[in-house]
Order: sequence, then structure tokens, then C-alpha cells
Amino acid sequence: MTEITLNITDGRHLEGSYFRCIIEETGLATILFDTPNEKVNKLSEKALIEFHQIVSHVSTRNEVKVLIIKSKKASNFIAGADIEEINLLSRESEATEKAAAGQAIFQSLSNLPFPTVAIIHGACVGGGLELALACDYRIASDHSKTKIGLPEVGLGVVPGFGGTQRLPRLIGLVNGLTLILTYKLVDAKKAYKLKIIDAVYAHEFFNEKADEFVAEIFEKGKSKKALKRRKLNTINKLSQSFLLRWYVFKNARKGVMAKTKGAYPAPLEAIELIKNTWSLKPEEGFAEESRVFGKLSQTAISKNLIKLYFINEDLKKEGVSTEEVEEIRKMCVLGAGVMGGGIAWLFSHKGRSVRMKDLSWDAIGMGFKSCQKIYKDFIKRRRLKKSEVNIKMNLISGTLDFTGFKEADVVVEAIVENIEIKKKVLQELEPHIGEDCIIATNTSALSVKEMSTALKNPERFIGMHFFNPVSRMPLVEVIPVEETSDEVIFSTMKFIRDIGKTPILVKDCPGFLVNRVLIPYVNEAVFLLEEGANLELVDEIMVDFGMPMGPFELADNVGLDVGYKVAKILEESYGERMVCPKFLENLHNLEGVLGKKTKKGFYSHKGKKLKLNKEVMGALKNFQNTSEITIQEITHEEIETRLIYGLIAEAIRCVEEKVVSKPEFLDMAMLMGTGFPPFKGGVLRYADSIGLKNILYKLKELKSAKGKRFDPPELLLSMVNRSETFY
Amino acid sequence: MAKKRIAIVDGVRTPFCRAGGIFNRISADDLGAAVVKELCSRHEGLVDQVDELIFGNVAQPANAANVARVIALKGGLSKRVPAYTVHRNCASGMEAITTATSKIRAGEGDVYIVGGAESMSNIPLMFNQKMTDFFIQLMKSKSLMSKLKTFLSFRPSFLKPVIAVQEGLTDPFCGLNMGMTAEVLSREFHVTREQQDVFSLESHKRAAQATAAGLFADEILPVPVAPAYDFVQSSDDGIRKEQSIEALKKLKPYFDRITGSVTVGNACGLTDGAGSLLIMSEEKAKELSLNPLGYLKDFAYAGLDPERMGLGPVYSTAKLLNSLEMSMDDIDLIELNEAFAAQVLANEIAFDSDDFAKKYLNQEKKVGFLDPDKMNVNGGAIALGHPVGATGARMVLTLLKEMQRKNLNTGLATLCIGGGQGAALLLERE
Repeated sequence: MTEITLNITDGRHLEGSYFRCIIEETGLATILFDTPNEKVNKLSEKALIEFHQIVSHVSTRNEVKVLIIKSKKASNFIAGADIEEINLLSRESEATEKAAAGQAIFQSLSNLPFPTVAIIHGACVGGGLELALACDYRIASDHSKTKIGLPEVGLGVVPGFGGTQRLPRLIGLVNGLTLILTYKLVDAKKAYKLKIIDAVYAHEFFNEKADEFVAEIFEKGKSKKALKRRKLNTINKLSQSFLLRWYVFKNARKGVMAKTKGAYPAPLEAIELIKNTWSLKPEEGFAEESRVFGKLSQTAISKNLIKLYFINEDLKKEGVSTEEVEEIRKMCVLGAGVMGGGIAWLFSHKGRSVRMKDLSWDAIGMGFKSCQKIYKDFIKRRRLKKSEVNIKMNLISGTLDFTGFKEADVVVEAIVENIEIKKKVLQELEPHIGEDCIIATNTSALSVKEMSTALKNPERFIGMHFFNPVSRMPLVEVIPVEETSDEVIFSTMKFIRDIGKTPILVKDCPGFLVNRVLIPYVNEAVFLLEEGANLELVDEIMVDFGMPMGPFELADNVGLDVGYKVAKILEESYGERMVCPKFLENLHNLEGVLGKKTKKGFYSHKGKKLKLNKEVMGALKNFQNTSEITIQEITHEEIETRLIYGLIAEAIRCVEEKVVSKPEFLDMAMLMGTGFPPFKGGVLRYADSIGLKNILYKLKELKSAKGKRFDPPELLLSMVNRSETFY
Repeated sequence: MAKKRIAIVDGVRTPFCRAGGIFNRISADDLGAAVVKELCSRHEGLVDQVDELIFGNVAQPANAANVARVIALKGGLSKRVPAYTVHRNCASGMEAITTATSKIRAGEGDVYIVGGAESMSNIPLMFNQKMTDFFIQLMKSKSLMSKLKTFLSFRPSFLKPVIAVQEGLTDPFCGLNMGMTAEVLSREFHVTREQQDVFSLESHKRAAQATAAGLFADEILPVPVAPAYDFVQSSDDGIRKEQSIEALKKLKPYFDRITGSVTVGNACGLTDGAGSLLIMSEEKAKELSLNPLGYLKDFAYAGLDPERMGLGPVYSTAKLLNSLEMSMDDIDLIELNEAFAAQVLANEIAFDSDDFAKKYLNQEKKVGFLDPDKMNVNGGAIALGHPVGATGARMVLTLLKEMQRKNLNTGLATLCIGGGQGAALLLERE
């Protein structure tokens, strides 16, 4: 065990590196948590050991009547266990021991003979909540930073410090399961309603209210009101009865399966764990919990999810200026189409005013309509009230000319994907805006550099590629050109974070990152189709692989016209490697077959279930009859390999060309931009796991069969030669 | 000392749409916010200099008390800019202009956003007194028995709603509905049903022509129609291009069903709409080198019998012209609000009558000839509709735009006001 020195001055004052404890003469003991050199408190191994010592010490002091646990951080209670430490656990038994040790420490807290109160202001998450759950009472401030929950399942493990045992028993089986399985954090009010905490107070009055709460316990030995409130209602009790329990667990399992198709073991294991330990003695339950935690902590999926968590943290630091950055409040959008409308929606949603310019009021009206559609969904899901939506919609205005552009902080161009038109419009725009206004293009594939030549002042120009649908896609590719000034890059990065999206810096190349990697995959799907693969089967295989939807459904969602345009641009730029399948061109000539937006694409989008579009199938038959392609049986394995390996090859090429600053960021971008399955850890991490050598071998094989599309990238060759991996 | 002129820098309005129709689900504050936002966008640098927003509104929507403040905030003005609502019935939109004018003249501020907004679609139905009493009794009843007893006292008649818009359009002093005040004028000035219908037809014709020529597009901000946003409304929808005298003749009198002459065809309709103007002192406009639409030289309000409220224009115009020592001959163009055809025609007679002047205006000579060729040249409220709080702002805007097009210098905007008042504004371009 690590050596911890506790400085005990007089038995009533303890001073550690993480904790301080004061036992007042009155009998009130206070433990203050203050992780050195960090903004948040983490339950690292050292901190836990020190905590244990303090608890042991306090337990020996007879004068103690009440113990309260507080954080000294401004707006954080305990952020949880140290994920870095979990990541370093390399053996199942080691992980199980670590969890068991933590459980024992919290159990000693729970066993203290006097009442204990956790006073929560700021995040109380994971191990932090498990500590609080080991206290007799929990109270919280209603500050926006107060977030409470158990996020472990999201990292591919289960809570390991007693959370799976204490939480469902405290708040009822149904609510407990939901909170653990969805790994969502709730705010203080919701936590109060769920009875995780016994009282919630206005954060402005939190100190005095907390004192009052503690004072009552101090005087009376307990808070009757809090204890009474915890009693479960009849429905909750009933759902825990022997008869109904199996149904609750079955339903939970069904919900998880519907959501994840069983790709993630953690939620399923969590259900089993809670089910199996429900009637056991606490110590048996804890033992089982630590065992499951240990087992899950060593799965590749958990390792992947934890790695992704760190990449995400790392990504948050990209392009962050140390200096103050101008805030962007006012935005104008050129073009009120699908993307323009979506971007306008996003901005209004974040409480900023936005003006849409287009060529006709009908077009502007469509922009309003697309915003309203998203908001309507928000109302339906009760995420916003009608009156709130009304205020937000009032932030949007329309115009045919450049009135209202003079004071814009940023203008985002989202007009038709035609380089000449874009250049012309940018030229028109420039005299109408202020000197400091950032001009951004939302092009999905055109050259940002080429566009910048239209401007007198290219240092303010930057690519800002949002994905469709803007309301749901978290990623934004940010593409500076050489001339783009640092200030513009910094404020763009900050601005995108401010509006709740994740920006990633990408080099200006055709298709940027996500589309460039994705197009070979979609192209390949069409090649497969041409060669006789079953369309629905191709989609199914990719869904089984873990993609949120198959390539054909994806193409329908993106819009076949949009996809075709991008595919053509990339074909032009990258040549044979990204040759556009002939059938895609045929499809482009079919009138009204534009995908989901016209209800006709590869699928017919009428009614709830997708059905194959007969028109497209007919065209395919024709195509196959007139072309020289030999129709043949294609195995599942070949389908998956051709789709995924093409994508991997292009991803490796992007690393080679330094399109992103790190392979990790590429993985994160593909995950956020295409839904590449998180449990696989990302495109390149998945490549590592298959073995780069194997990939190279297969690519060579595919190249000789199918041509340059599968040309292995230089970097892959050299990495294989040097036996390197991406991670 | 001559009073200061006020520069009317710019203005914009929404389309005017029949109540219960296209703008049915858009509240007055949202209509107002749309036009304010447009003005702010057109004059970005100026927005920071706005001293206050003043808006007229009659129905005072329950969801937005002091609707002007709501309009200012939704319209994107800084939260530091104060705002208040003014109410002078049908002249509320003008009242906003003249209140700001008085403030500028008094040196209280320099730059104002003014206007009017009205959603007559959203004037509520109310519970009647019996139903209200029933609710109160129900709340008072504590025991089961007394509750039961109260329940049994319920009668279907309790459910008959009070239609607030009808109440609002009924004069609380003389008890006459506005339509009935038009009947009073029709009788007094012997304005026949046929004359009224002919006048109404002309109003539609002129408005239809103006629309076809794109004249109103110049002052209208197209409005994406909430809540579904399925389309954008960019023109007034009350104008009947196909209106005919035969169709007008067929209509039954609406207010006095037996002996009357005022129909829904020769009266203005209930309407939704908003209009807004950016105004400032003449010096300020000069200082900023702006090129205003025109100037408000002066204004007058006058009172008269509530049951003859339609004659408001003649009373107020007389007062205005006298104080400015001007005559009707000096006026190049006129907007006289068409609340009712009978009322406009009665004004034509009264303006041109020495007898009327002697009897009612305390002056020897008539006010002057109200030339139909100079008046409402692009139609009026009978075709366009009359969103009560907004009309005043629209008239000033429409008048100035037409003066600009025809290069005329002097204009009169005058309007009758429910409750027995008149308003008159004298506008100049040079």
C-alpha cells in the first residue's frame, strides 16, 4: 500500500494531502475533500486510502455526533474514480481487488455509529455518488453544475464501489436500473424527485440551509422528514415483489437490446448483477459487484470506451487559445436550405440571433420550416415549452438582401455546392460586413483554398463543415486555409464549442476528413450492389457490424443528389481510387429519386418500415443486363471486408497526409460524424485490433481483384514493415 | 416658436390579413417583433441609439401585458431599451408616433422605434358573469352538500361566452356598436347604401391595382407563417380583385339588420397586422446624414360625440390646419382611414360644408374640399383591413411612400377613433 502521512495535530484536526478533517468540540465532524492541483476531486487510490484513514480515525472519537462530507472545490463535489487508474488495470483480479477495497472503505463509512451527511455542490458522479450513497443523508444545491449519476456503464464497466447495490435499494428497482443502465446524469431537482438526495436547496442559500439540515440531525439524531420521504410508494414496492421482479429485469434487458443490439456487455451484465444480488446479503452483493467490475474492466470494449473518453477530453483542448477570444453573438447564414436552416436552428437554439439570406421568400420560408420541425420534436419530447420555442423562433429572421449583415460576427455560407457560384457570392458579401466578421463556408467537399481566392481578406475565411442533420450530429470539421488568422481559428473553435458541438481541425483537402473516408465505403456498397449483392443484406451486415444504419439507408438520409455531388467531386480529385460507380450515375438520372426527402431512394420511405424502391431495383436489373458485370454470389465476409477495408485504407491515407493532427482524433471524428461503432474504438483502433499486416494482405488481394480502389496506402506499408500500430 | 419637425426615417409593415385566417395563430407581439427586427436590421448602427420603443395596441393580449416591451425584446432591441404600450383605440399606432414626437420635442430622447401591432384573431372569448359567479361559488363551497347544490345551480346559459372583440367595438358610453355609429352618419348625411357600395368597390380596385403594381411590396415585410411555417405571406389578403357591385349589393346589413345600410362589404374587416417606423429629431437625422422618408410637421387630436365618432377626421383636421394656418389646398395627398364607407363619405360632405363648420367646428368657413382623387389613392381599410392598433402606423408609411413615388410634398393622415375622437397628422417630404 502507498504510504500516506496524516498530520494529526491534536486528534481533532487532521491534515492530509487530499482531505482535511476537523472535529469540533460540539461533536460535529467535517471532512473536506480538496484534491491538490486539480479543479475537481477524484477518488484516486491515494485519496481513497487517505479517506479510509480519516474515517477510521473519526470512528474512534467518541465525541463525534454527526459527520459531514464536503468538497472544497468551487463547483465540484467528487467527479468520480480516477479513470486513468481504471485504464491502467491490466488484470481482472487486480481490478476486482481494487473495487473490493473501495467497497470496504465506503462500507466503513456506512458503518459509522453516528449519522453521516454528504453535502453536494457541483458534480457528484460515479465513485462520488457511491461515496454519497454510503452516507446516511445526502443534500444538494440546485446549481447548474450539480449533476448526479453513475456513468460507469458508459465506460463499459459497472459501478464498482457499491453503486449497483445501494442505489436500487435506495430509490427503487425501476428507477435505479434506469439510472445505471442509461448512465445519464440528472440535476439536483431530478435527483430529489428520484429520492437520491434528501433535500435540495437554492445554491445561493446553500450553506445556511445545509447548516439547518445538519443542525436538526445534530439535535434529534436523525431527520424524520428525510427518512419518511424515502419510503417507496406502492407501485415501486410492487415492482420489487418477487412476482414482478422478473418482468422488470426482462423489460430492462429488452430495452437495452433494442438500443444496442447487444453490442455492449456492460448494461446487460449490470442487469444480471442486480438481478442476481437482489436477495443476497450486502457482503455477497458487494463481492459479486467487484467480480463483475473486474471482468468488464478487462474487456476490449471497455478499454475502447475509456480510450475514447480520453480522446474526447484531449480533443476539447484542440485549438483553445490562452487569450480571451471574442464571443460570437450574431450570425448570418447565406442559403436557407437544409444545411442553412439547420445551422440557423442551432444558433437560435443557443439563444443567439440569426439572419437567413436567400434568393426568394419561399426559400427563406423553407428555412423557417426546417427550424420549426426540429423544435416541434423538442416540444413533443418535452425538452422545450411552446413559449420557449416561440422566443427562439423570434431570434430568426429572413432577408433577400444584405441588410443586417453589417454587425454580424460570423457569416456562414451554405448555398449550392458550386465553386463558381460560391466565389461570386463571397465576393458580393465582402463589402457588406464588418472588418472583424468571420466568413465561413459550410461546403462538404469543395476546396476552401479555392474559395478563399475570391476574397480580398482571406485571413478571416475558414471552412466550417456541419453535418446533416445539424440538430443531431455533434461534429463540425473546421478547415482553416494558410491565410486564416490564428484569432479566426481560435474564435471559430470556441464558438462551435459554445453552441454545443465538437470542432475538429482538418486540413483542406477534397472531402475533408469524414466524407473523404466515408465515400469509398458508400461507393463500395454500390459496387457490391452492381455485382449482385442483396441491398438489404449489405445494410444488415453493416448494422450488425455496429454502424447506426447501413450505407444505403445512410445515402437515402443524406440525399442521393448531395451524395452524388460529393462522390463526383472526390472522383475528380482522387481519380481511380474513388471512381464513382456507374449505377450511381444512372440513379442520378432517375427523376425524384433523391432519398428520404422525396420519400424515394434506395428504399421507399413511406410508412414506418423501409421497403426496397422498386423503381431503383428495376433500374438495377436494366443496368446489370446491359453491363458486362458478372453477377455472382458474394459472401457476408466479402461484403464486410470490402466495405470496411476500403474505409480503413482511406483513413490511413488521411493520417499519412496529416489531414488531422492525431490518429485518435480521426477515430473520434468518424465516430461522431458517421456513428462508427464506439465499442470498436474507432476506425484505426479497429485496424490495430485486426492487425495492420492482415489488412495489408487483404488490401493487396482486393486490389488485384477489384483494382485501385483498394490500393494500400504508403503509410500502411511502412508501418507494417516497422511493425507499428496506431495506438 | 415653430415646433420641431420629426424625421420619419424608415418604416415597414407586415401584410394585413383577415382575422381568423392566415395569421390566426400568430400573436400581436410576434407580428410586432417581426417588423421591429426588420427595422433594426436595416439600421444596424442606429439600434444602439434607440431611446425607447413605443407601440400601439388595442386588445392588450393577456399573455403579453405591456405588449410593447415584449415586442422590443423579441424584436432584438437591447434589454436596456425601455418600452411601453399606448392605447387610443383605432389611433393607437398614430398615438405611438405622436407620443414619441412629444418626447423628442420635450428633449427626452432623440431616436424612437414606434408602431402598432394587433392580432384581432387572438382577442379571446370570455366567461360571462353568471359563469364567473358559478366558479366563485364553487370555490366557496366546502362541504359535499354545498358543492352539489352549487353544481345543480348550473344552467346552459352560463356557457354563452362574452365575445371580447364585440365588447371592444361597442362604445361604452353611448352603447352603440361601431357599425351603428356608421349608420348614424349614413342617416345624418344621407349617404345611401349604393354610394357606400360604390365607394367600397373603388377601394378594392385601387388596392388591387397598387398590389399588382408592386407598390405595397415596397412597405411589406413578408412573414413566414407560424406555427407551421408552411408558407410565407407577402401580401395583404383582404383585397378582393373580383369584387363587384352586384356582390356588394347582395349583402345584408350587418349591424342594423332591418333598416340599415352598413354591410360587411362596405365596412373594414377585422384584421391582423403590425407596422413600425423609425423616427428621430430632424437634427439627428441630419447629423447622421440620413435620407428620411419624410417629416411629421405637426399633429392634432380632437373629441366629438361618441355616436358620431366617424367624423373624427374633420374635427381633427380642422384643428390641425388652423394651428398651422394651412388649408386643404395645401395638401397634395390624403390617407383617411376607411372604417366604414358611410363614414368616409360623411366626412367628404362635412369637410366641404360651411354649415357644418359653423355648427360644429366654431369656424366660419368649411375645412375644405376632400378630393377623392387625392385620397386613399391605393385603397384603404375597406380593402386592406383595419388591425386597430396598427393602422395608424400603416397610414403614415403608405402615405409617405406614395408621396415619394409621386414626388409630392404635403400629406395628411387622418383617422376616426372609437369613443368619439379624431387624429390628424401633417407630413412633409422636404
